[in-house]
Amino acid sequence: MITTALSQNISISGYVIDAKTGETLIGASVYQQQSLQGVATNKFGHFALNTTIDSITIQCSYVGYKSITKEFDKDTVITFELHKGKTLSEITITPDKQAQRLRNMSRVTIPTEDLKMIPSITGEANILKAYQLMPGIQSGKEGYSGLLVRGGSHDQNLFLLDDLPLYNVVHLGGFYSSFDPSMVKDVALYKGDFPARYGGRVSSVVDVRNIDGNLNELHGEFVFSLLLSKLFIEGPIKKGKASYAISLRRSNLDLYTSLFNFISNSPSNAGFSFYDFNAKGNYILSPTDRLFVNIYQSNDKIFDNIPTQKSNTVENTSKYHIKWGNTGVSIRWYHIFNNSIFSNTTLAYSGYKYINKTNEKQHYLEDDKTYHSKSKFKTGINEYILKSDFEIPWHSQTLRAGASVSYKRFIPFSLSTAESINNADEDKKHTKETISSGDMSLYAEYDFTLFSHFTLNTGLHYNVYAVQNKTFHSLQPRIIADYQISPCLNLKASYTQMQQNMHLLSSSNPGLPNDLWLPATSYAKPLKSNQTSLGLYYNMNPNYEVGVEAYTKNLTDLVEYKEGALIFSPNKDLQDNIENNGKGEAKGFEFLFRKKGGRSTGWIAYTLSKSERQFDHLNNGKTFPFTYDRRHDISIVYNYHIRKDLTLSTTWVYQSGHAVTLPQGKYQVPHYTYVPTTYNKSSEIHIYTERNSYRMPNYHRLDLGLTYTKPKPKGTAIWSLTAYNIYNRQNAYYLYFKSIDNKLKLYQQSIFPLILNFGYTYKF
Amino acid sequence: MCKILSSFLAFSIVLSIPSCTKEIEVDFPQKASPIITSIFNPNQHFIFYHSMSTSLSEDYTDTIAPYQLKLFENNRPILDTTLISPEYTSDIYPRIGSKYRLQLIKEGYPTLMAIDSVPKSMPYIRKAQRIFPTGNSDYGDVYCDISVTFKDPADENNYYEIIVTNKQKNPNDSFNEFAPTDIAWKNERDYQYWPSTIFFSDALFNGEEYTFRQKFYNSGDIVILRAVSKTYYLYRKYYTRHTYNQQQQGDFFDVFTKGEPQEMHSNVINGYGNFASYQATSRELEVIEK
Repeated sequence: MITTALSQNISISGYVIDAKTGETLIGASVYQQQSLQGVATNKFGHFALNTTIDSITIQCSYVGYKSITKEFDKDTVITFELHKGKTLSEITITPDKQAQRLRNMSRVTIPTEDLKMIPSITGEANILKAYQLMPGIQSGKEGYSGLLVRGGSHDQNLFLLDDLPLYNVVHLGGFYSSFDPSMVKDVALYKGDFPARYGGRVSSVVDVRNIDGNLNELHGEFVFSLLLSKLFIEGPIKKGKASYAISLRRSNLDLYTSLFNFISNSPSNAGFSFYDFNAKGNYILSPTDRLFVNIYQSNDKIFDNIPTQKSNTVENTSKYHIKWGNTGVSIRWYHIFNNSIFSNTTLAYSGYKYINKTNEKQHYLEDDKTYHSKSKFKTGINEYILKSDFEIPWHSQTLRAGASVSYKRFIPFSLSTAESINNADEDKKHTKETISSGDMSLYAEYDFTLFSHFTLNTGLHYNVYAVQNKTFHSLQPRIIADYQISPCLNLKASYTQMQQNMHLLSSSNPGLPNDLWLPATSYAKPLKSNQTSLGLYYNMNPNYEVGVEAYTKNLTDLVEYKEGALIFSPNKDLQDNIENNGKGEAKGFEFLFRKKGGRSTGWIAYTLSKSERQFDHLNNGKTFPFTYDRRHDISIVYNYHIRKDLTLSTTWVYQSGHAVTLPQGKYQVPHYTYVPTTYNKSSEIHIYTERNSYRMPNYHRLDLGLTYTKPKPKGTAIWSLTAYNIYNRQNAYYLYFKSIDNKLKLYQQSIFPLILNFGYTYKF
Repeated sequence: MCKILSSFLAFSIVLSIPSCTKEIEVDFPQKASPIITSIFNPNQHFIFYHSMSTSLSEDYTDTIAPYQLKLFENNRPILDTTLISPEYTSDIYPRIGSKYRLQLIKEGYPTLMAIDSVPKSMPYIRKAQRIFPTGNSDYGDVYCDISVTFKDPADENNYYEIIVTNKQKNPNDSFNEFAPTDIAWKNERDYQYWPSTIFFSDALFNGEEYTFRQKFYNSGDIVILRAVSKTYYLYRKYYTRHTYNQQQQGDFFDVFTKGEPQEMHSNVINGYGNFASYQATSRELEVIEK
């Protein structure tokens, strides 16, 4: 029987906020003490609870905060202001079990405090790298912050920053995440059980919520580490009414390369740098209306400026710049109708660009002529979005519905060149390819309870996509079920379909980025996935939980570079470089044991998985392993509070080697010349057997982090020391062949030995 | 504070310095296979090259075990010899239109077999011009425009190779083309791999008179037009792509910019190699000074 209640006597709605900062709290529990029925605050910190009882006692609680209890006998809009205090474990809060279960079953969460403790190569907390330590989620190459979720590739993850979709969320090829941990309030990662409100990617959704900014006091943070500098401030614009939060981070790496160039007396000024900027404004228009403005910008740059070099006959000057980054702006307005129906409307722009510029001059002294040539290669995507989401509470159940439209303009290829002699007769050429596409999505999603121990989240996501006079329709069902076998034991199952209307062509080469976003077309159709998962979760006691999950995922309409395709010479006609109609199959088993409370916290995660691909014209049509197919993946995270002011954190990671294509044999043939010559001038031919048939060496490393916190008269100083790869394991970053004494040998290159980093943070 | 930071930085750098490159011992389980290659044309004796494949991690063997080479012309045996040398030049000239079947018999291996024919049709070059000079490259090289007009035979798939060279026919003296301008050549997409000659199919001009137009760096004085078999065309295409994307040096360019590996084409059954044919004609370029 579906327990819906249409006769409502009392409606209680409002927000749960931090009493000191005014920050809304996501996932706080608001429940009736009598019936233990209740809800959790949504990602805006809002809740709405309807009940048929005449008079109720509501308790509001949140991890790390003191609970509040209040009585109500009429419709009320209220803001619960919670004070930090008694630290509660999530399990000790027992509101409506069904609501709590549904909230947790489809998302992977790591408490923000735990996220910040996990040591990283950069010294500062790296949110995405922390999630790589959870089961079913992997990194690609060492140091890379992108996510590979359940056999998917890294373009198959939807990154949302306050509803703003981002295309590039890493710096320097992936060593840094572009999410500043000081700005982040909450991260929810969905790796399989996708609620119907999400769409657009097939493997995961990473929903990041930034803080709104302190409504009452000015606070800030200054960070200096060997690799990064940061300034973060937040405070009220109008006390209790409007606030802001701003973060600016910049790498220090170019300072070292400049210093190195200076010391080594190098004529060139080469290096790399990045920055990211996050800003958020929050204005409370009324108890039922709120306005947010978000600005996000991340930029990376690799440069090589070679000043004039003279020889007897010629003077050469050249500049090479590669820049890439993501810019995003969003305005969000949320409004509450009738004190209960919550709406959120977002107008957003997100743009990703990659630019490669060269500028060369040759001045020939003999004839005093200057030849000047410039080129600019550009690829990118611009997206404009308008969306509205509604949440309609129905007793202890929630109906969600919404719609979105988006317009995307892709620039797969743009090349401008200009050549001139003595600054005259400039010969300009410009080739540009643009493709526009439009999307519209509608969804409806309903949380409800069947019997007392069986809860469901069901929904439909409809998408219509138009590109190049072709229209694609899809109806994507989502079913997520939870059966409570006993108070501590839950069985969960889900089936979800997802569609992705864009493809990413990306080489597996390390280092330089060359992401090429392409719209799905009639040639490279929208990518689709079907995923089924089944899990069993056991809460041993308030501090411990253990879970196992199995999944299968099928992917269709994958694309891949063709054999022999040149990655750094993008062909204008991309179909020539792309294999289409690919299929993928991933399956796996995941295990998680987690300790959530006490002086020591952490988890053990293990994934056994297999991921394969099949294309008609690759590997002779036979199935082959996905590049990042890793059979075993183990992560152990252990955080220990040695003293109140001293924390030790350790991470150990083990991964089976991923798959690469290597030649198995070789032979010699006559070297090609247009006139056949003698045999002694020969070319070597490599024999490839199966694609991705070779495995990289297994990967493992241990990281340590130590954090010391010292109160200061006007703030807090935090000293951090991290040691990455403490036993200096030489993990292979890539393999390469080199011919030595006419013998071809295989070498591995490791680029992350033991690395120590130091950071100093001052918070005020 | 500064002292601590400096010491720490120095310490970090020292710890990060140790070499991170090491050779990997890999067992590539490649069973040795016989290789036979012969690129033949009616103006030259058949020349055969035989070798053995080996594992990637092993050296090539210098000694060749005896092998029997058989050649059939239109199913009629014309050569049957046993050899121990990797290279063999016969006294047989291929004939236009004849179908040749090659067999290599070696103890312990299945018989290798390959078939190809010299293309029947060799278009006549109606016109060949070099317009010179038509511009300068960034580095001051002069470039020219070359056009070659010929009639493609109708109702059959034909394949061509064009070489611009000088009268001395020095095989090392090839003229790399400028950016692709010819439509048929552009359509092949092989220009990205910088081959030393140009090859294309008649897919865009089947049965029509075609004028090939291409900018070239520098200038030759003679153009060679080859009518090549499909096997030759595939050999040329895949050889170009395979060798361009092959890692050999282990340097930055090798590791970061090489494309996807390309398997080499072979028409030899039970082994590797190519047995492919062409016939050619040439014409001196009419020079038009601009």
